[in-house]
Amino acid sequence: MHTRHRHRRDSLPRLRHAALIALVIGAPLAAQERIDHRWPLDADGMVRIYNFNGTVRITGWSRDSVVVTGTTEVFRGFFGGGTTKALKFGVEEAIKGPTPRSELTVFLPARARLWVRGASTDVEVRDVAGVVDVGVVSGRVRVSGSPAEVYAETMDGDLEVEASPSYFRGKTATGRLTWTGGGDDVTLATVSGAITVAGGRLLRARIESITGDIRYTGSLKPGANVTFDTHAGDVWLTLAKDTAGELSVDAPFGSVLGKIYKGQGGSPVLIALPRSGTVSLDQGVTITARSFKGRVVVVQQ
Amino acid sequence: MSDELDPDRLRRLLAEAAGLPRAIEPERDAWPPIRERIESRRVRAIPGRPLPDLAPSWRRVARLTAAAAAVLIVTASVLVLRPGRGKSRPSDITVGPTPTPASLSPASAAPLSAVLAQYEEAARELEAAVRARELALEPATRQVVRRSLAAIDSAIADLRAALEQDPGSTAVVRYLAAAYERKLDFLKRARGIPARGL
Repeated sequence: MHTRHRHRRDSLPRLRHAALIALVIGAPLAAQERIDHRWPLDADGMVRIYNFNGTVRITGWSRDSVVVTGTTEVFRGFFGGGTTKALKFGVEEAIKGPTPRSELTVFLPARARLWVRGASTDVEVRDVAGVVDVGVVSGRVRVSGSPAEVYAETMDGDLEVEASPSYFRGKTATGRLTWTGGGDDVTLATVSGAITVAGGRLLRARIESITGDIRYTGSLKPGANVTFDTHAGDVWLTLAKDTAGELSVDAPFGSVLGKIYKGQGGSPVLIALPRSGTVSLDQGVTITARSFKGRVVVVQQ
Repeated sequence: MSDELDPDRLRRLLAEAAGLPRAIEPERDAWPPIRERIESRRVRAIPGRPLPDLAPSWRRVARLTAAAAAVLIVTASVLVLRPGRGKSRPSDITVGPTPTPASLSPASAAPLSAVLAQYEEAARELEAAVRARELALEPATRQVVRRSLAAIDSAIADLRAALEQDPGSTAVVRYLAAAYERKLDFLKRARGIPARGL
């Protein structure tokens, strides 16, 4: 009996050491699990991805399969499955405290319909031609390629889109919204983030902020109707010289500056803009630029 | 004065909008057959996130928002219609102030306050819901939500003060309606932010 007690006392430190070694060896394994999964998916299948902390890099390719690789610090956190028409995968959130990071690299059929949700997650989407729908809280969202439609939201991360989808909804709160491209049906909104749009042609667009500045450089499609509206930011419009139509400006507690030309050929006519009013040119586009407290600056060049 | 700006017509439209049902129930419950189809095609169970705790008041918020939006459609349709819009424009350059339908100011004062009250009520309920789960948000996200709401509220306060100074200003009404729309939209987004540990 006495011997048995002594034996137990002797073995306790050894057990502690063994446990400690197991923890030291096991910790890195648990902290970083590898992810490597493959599924077949129809060319126009649906893919839903969840990752609440880390990065998700998605690339469209010409194969009818989905490949996900990467790492996760969430212990046994990866889940996934579905059919050839719809897949869902991602990393579970931590039950308590901040969710550890996961880095996902995804290849999917280019025409797939993509849906991504995250929190502190940076998302990058490239070469996806289907519908792209991304929503995160504090991460950066970047979309490039030729998606048919884009829905993208982030609260305080930046949103950058280099594409010309026919339908685009982009929102941030404090994050900057930068779009290089054009579209037929566009709504962009921020609370305090600056909005910069350049490079493409617009048909119907509503671009608005509460305190953020709005900058637009580009041309408009025939019959276009676009509105730029900010409460306390500035609106800067640099329009193509041949832009013709009706320009409404309004800055009741701010100021209006600018010079515009009568387009459609002929000698350009320089006119001063009213602080609040409408400038009618030939038949064509309708542009509305409003800032309650800020400046409205319109330049044709 | 164009027909659309007729105060009597506006009142009739508002009265009709107010008389619309606040909600329309679907004729039959479509969910069971949809679920049956989904279940029959299921290949593998996928662990999903728990559904957010939807308080019963969401239906009420949705109704309020819908009601405010319905009234706004009527109001906005009147506000944006200006004499001359849609008619052929002269080819020469013309510069002038934005026309303000004078008939709107006295006639729209009462309905406008009703619309604003609807917005306020919808915003209050959404704000209460956002505040209730604020502690579950990441501290940085919480700050973003607070800062953004403060910016929107500050804009609304500006515009309300401007409207008091100039109750007949359709431009201010337009800004105010837009600010409320943004507030409701932002609150809905904030309500959907995933909380820690959920």
